[in-house]
Amino acid sequence: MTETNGDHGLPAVLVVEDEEGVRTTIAAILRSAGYVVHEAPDGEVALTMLDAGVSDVMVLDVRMPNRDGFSVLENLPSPPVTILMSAQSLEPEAYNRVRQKVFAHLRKPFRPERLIETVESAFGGEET
Amino acid sequence: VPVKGQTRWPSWLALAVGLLIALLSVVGCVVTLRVTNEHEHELLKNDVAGAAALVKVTVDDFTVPMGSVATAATLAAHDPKDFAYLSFPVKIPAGASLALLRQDGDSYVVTAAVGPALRPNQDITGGVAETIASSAQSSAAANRAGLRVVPTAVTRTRNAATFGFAVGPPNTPPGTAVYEQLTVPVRFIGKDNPFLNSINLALYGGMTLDPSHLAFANTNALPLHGDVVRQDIAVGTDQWMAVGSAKEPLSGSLARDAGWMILFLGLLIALLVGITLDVVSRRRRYAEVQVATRTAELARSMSDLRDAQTALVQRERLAAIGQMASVVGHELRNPLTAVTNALYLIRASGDLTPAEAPHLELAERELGRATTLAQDLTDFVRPRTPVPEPFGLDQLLEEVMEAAPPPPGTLVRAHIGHLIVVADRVQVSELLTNLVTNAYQAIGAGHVWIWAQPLDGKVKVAVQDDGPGIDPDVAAHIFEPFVTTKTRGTGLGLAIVRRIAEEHGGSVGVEEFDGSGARIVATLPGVAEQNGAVHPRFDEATAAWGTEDEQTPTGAAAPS
Repeated sequence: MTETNGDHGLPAVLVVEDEEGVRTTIAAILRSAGYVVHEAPDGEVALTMLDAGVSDVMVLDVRMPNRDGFSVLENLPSPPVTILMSAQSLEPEAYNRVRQKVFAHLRKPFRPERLIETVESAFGGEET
Repeated sequence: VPVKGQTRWPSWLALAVGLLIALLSVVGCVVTLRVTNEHEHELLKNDVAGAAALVKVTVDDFTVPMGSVATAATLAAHDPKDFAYLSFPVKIPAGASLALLRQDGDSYVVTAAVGPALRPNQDITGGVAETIASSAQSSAAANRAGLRVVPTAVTRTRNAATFGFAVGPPNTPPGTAVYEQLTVPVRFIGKDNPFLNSINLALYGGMTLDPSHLAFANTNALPLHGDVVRQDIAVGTDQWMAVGSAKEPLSGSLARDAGWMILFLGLLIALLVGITLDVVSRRRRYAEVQVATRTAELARSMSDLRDAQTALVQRERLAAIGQMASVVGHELRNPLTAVTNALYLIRASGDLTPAEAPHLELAERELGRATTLAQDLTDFVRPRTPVPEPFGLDQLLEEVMEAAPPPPGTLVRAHIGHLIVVADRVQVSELLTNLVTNAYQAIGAGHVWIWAQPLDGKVKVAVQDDGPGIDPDVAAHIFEPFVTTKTRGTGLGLAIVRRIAEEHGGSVGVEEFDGSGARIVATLPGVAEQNGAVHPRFDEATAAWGTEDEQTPTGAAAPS
């Protein structure tokens, strides 16, 4: 089953990233790939938006102000399918706590095609 | 703590000075003793000469000098203890008697006497003399003993008894005549009837009899002291002899002992000076050794300190480089992501003019370089513990060559065989990628050879090119971060190669060989399962990638 955004009937992705340049370009690429994209500049805003149930897949940056990516995942009992992004290598202890909730991990910088492929398979994974 | 340079023996200086002072003290002692002895001898000689003169005058004149005032005075002038004995024979006129008187207050006591009452050679020691002495307590008693006894002593001194001799015919009544006889004895005694008798009279004590000499002895005089002086006396046709010796040293005890004191003090001073000099010299030697030791220690410490400082500075430098690399590498990643995305969006929009398209390509290419740089910077400092697993090196090399294909004009030949390496596969992949990329960049275009062979339980991987080679000065530093001979590249690739090799317990190095180019080798833990030649020949290369621009240079012979 492909979950869809109620308004448009299209798959919705939440991009959580504090770096505006990264966030807006990822959003643009995903929109061009046909997704409905919501943007959150930090973890707190992301949690609020997820409360409203706006997304099926989340592209989540790790290091952010106002609650980082790991904290967001720890606060969600059943988060959306999550693709982690990080500039740094992941701190093993923190990563292990949320590993079950992570669908994939992209190390910045990544090729945009790889992002699209990963998001596609994230939706595909939901179907299976 | 025993210190080098110390010995048990005194220093030469201390020995020399000590011996010199000791020698001087011996000389001083000898000289002083000699002077003292000569002085004593002179004194004694004077005394004996005086006595001899007295005897001579007396006998020549037929007087009895012993009874004279002069004799008594002469004898009394000496401390009795100083004058040991005087020995000489005396002629006593026939019928005359000789007595020795001792003054006792106002009276004179006969202590010894000789005359007709006594036989020649009679031993009058003890009994007779004692008898006479005890019975002749006065002039009357003396007369009864057959002696003409007249006090003759006229000289009295406070410290000494004065002795006198009285000589006269038996039963001569006391009177001045006797006194005159004493003073002018020759007239009284006459020469015609003399008899020779020898008698020993002890002036101050016991008597001994000697047949030819008259000896004055003193019990307190024995044993006699040192020097004995004799003097011959010619009296008429007779030969007489005066003998003198001191009972005790005639000089004072200080003068007598001066020589020995000089010797003793001299030896003592020699010892003290010697010891002092030796101690000083030992201290100086000890201090010199200490100073030398401390100086050497200090120099060693300084050297150690410099080495430690150099090492510390190097470590700090690398740490600072690592930290900076990490920060830069990570901070670049977000902007690189944004730019990558933006370029993708531009290209995806598809409405580029022909003039714009090359610019976009340039931007993408350079972005690729920047991305590689960021990757290198973070890889360099990323702390990773290898997770070893066995894998085939040939398979991994194929994957690496697919991901990092040679640039146009470069041909890569490889001879790996089926070698099993036990290492972290991802890290060895990085290692190989960096080695081949380094070779690509070194040559621009040309040949790269890759081979591996087992070596002492490990696997040695070599990558060789036919580029310009590595300057020997640079070769020593080529595995340090940010050292590069190329105009392109970060200088981190080989540093990463080294770190990975060392984390696996292996090593890296630049190997020299005949021919131009560079050969870099790395060892990795492995298990050899080789199905190929140990010495590969590249005309039978197991694999080749890329294309050749031109013919294989003859200098680039197959490595062995």
